[in-house]
Amino acid sequence: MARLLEMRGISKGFPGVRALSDVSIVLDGGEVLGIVGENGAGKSTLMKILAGAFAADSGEMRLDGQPFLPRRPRDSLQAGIIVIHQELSLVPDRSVAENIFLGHLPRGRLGGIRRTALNRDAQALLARVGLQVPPQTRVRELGIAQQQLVEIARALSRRARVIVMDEPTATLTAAEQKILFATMAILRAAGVGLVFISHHLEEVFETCDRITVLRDGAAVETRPAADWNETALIQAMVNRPIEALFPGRHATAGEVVLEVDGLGCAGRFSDVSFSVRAGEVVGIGGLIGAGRTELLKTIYGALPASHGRVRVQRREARIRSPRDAIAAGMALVPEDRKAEGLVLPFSVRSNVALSTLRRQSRLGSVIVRSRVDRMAELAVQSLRRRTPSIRQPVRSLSGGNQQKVVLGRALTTQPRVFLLDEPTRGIDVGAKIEVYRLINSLAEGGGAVLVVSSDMIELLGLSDRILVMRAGRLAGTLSRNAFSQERVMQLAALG
Amino acid sequence: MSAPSPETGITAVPAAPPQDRRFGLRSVGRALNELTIVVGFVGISLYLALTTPAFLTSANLLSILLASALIGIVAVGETFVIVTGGIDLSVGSVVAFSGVMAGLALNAHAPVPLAVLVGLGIGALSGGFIAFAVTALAMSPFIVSLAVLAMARGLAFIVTNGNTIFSFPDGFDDIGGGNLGPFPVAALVSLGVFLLAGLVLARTVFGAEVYAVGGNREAARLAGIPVNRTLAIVYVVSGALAGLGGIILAGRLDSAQPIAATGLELNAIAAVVIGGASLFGGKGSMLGTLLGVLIIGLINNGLTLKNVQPFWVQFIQGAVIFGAVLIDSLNQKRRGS
Repeated sequence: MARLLEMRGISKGFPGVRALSDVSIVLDGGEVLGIVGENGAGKSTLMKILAGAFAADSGEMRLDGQPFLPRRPRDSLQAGIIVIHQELSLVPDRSVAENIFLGHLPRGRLGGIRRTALNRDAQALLARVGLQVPPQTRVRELGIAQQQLVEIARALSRRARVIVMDEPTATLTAAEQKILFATMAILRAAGVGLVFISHHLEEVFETCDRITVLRDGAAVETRPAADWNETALIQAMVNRPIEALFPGRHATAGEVVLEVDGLGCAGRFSDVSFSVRAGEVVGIGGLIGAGRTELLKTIYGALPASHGRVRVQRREARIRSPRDAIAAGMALVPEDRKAEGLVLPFSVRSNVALSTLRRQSRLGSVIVRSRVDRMAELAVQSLRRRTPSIRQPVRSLSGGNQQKVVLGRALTTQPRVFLLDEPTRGIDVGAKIEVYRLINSLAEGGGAVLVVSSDMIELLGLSDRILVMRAGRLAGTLSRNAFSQERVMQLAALG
Repeated sequence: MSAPSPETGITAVPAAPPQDRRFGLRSVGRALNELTIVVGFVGISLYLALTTPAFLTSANLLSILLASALIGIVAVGETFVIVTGGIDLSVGSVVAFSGVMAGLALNAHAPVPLAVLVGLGIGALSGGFIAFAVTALAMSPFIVSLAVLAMARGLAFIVTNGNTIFSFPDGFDDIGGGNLGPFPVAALVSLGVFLLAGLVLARTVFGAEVYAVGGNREAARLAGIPVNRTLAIVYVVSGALAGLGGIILAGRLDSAQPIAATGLELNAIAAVVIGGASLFGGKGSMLGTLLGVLIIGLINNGLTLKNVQPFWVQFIQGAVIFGAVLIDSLNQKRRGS
């Protein structure tokens, strides 16, 4: 019998990059295939080729044994291949039923929508994905997981044969995840072929029948899920032993630099107290939505504190804005580099200079360009290795180099307290190691470093201590000798 | 580290491979953007010079400068606002309101400098109102300035009962209508405003902050830039410059009408956008705006010289604005943000 989907020898290059070389995967109906790999390994490119958004340079695809050559996204949609992205594509102010049938609404004779038929058909699809809301509900009123189910129902309305889920759980709570996984099981039983892409390896083990590892644009290995374990997967993904990722650090903990006392932010988190010493790297673990990002932003004055105090170097810091925080000796590297860290169309030098404009000017008002150039060169050089030209727009840089620009700017204000939110998100392994080295040197230079990370290996590898947050509270603190993935997860999920 | 990875650089929206677009609309947009301002300016001038003998006379050229002075001053303020990613639709009405207020002050025997201050102050206050709503109340500048457009116009009618205010002292009229040597004073004032604003935008900390706020407001805030202060200043400056525009217009006409400068905001915004600023913020320059103002002045002048029906003038101005915004949004798409 022919396989449901075959992609054989797929290669794809972009100017200057070889994104995929000779990648082959197969998928049967009623099966979940997991695809894992570092960012930049080629997962999204492969799925975009399947979705008809990119054309492969070489290789062939077969659907039910028939050659399949999508020229545009619509070809793939009509063949029943649906890709559900992390960012959902629903219209928030229309009903669930309308969203499900968006693009092929049942029409009456005068071109009006046949509401009765629409809602009846929608009801049937909602039942199949296990979502119990009236089809007339506005999508805006649903949670993210429910919206995802609507998206899946939409996929079913197009008679989906293959459903690709790209990081579907990134924004879900644990309870919502369960709903999603249950729906995936239903789809699998109905003979749909599922591709599941995730950075969360536990989820991949929980849901997938087989797992393919992509690395540097090549499919390294495919095995049944039972034949993998987490360590083997990671080693296949990064192609080196895990210990080699974390260079050694020679810092001794000094005086207390940052003290957080009973800090809270209304509706986000409350009653968080801890302190960080000079030379210390403190990790903050927890699930998404536990309040970690909000904690960093509140310390930094980007969110208003509703109660509690922050002391920097034993002095009361009255921080009402990021400006105050910078003046008090803090630096934040935000979670979302593109939305919060950088002005994308601007050059490297303009981005690096943003926090110190007054210092680069005469009389605090007229900017001296040569000073900006010198400072930008220095900041970029201090980050070592291949560095971009300071006149390049940051938009054109890779994720790793963009992150270096954000870190470079953070250093320009000579801070003692570093608040790093997912500092290695979306960058490749080489750049990660550089960021780890930099974090080490910050600590060795007497800085107090606070790192939020969802990457368990990173959290365990970097931290001297780990604070675990759960549902807006500090669930516990683990010291280095009590570290383990299980302990962190236990605290994060159960408190 | 490898070259930019295609995976991290691409959003969820399916995009065609870049090489397919080499001859597409987007690259046309890019090419148009930088050079067209200059080429368009030279081209229109050449065309008018060759086809209409009346164009290249000093009287006509000076009249273009005079006509451009008002749009220019208002467009300077509008440039600051648009570079922050905002918009100020109220400038035309504020020109009228501050003009009649300055006129009323003069008619109440206020000395000329005081009347000028009244005009500038009314403009700054109108801008301050927008600034307050945009920063403290986090309202959208489009809607707020639209409301002020109506409110300022209404106030101009209320304070004058709908009548024209006229007969001002010569010292006041000279600001808008006088000459210094062969040059109109208004054009010189406008040029001075451009020079100063150009230096501020390109060379100062405040200018860099204006660009950063327009380029990415959240990143600017987290980098420690006083975002609200920057926004407040640009709206106050835009209002005050509209006030200056009101003084110049009232002086030129030796009268202030509540109906004056209707639709001026369109000309000003068009000049800014033709000059290469992006309505999405973060991009634009005073030199570009200056060229944009002169292009608008040339088009208006050419349409008059060629005896084009006045009804067409509005249509053509609208079409020019459409074209400029089209180029802007094509550029925006090309960057694929």
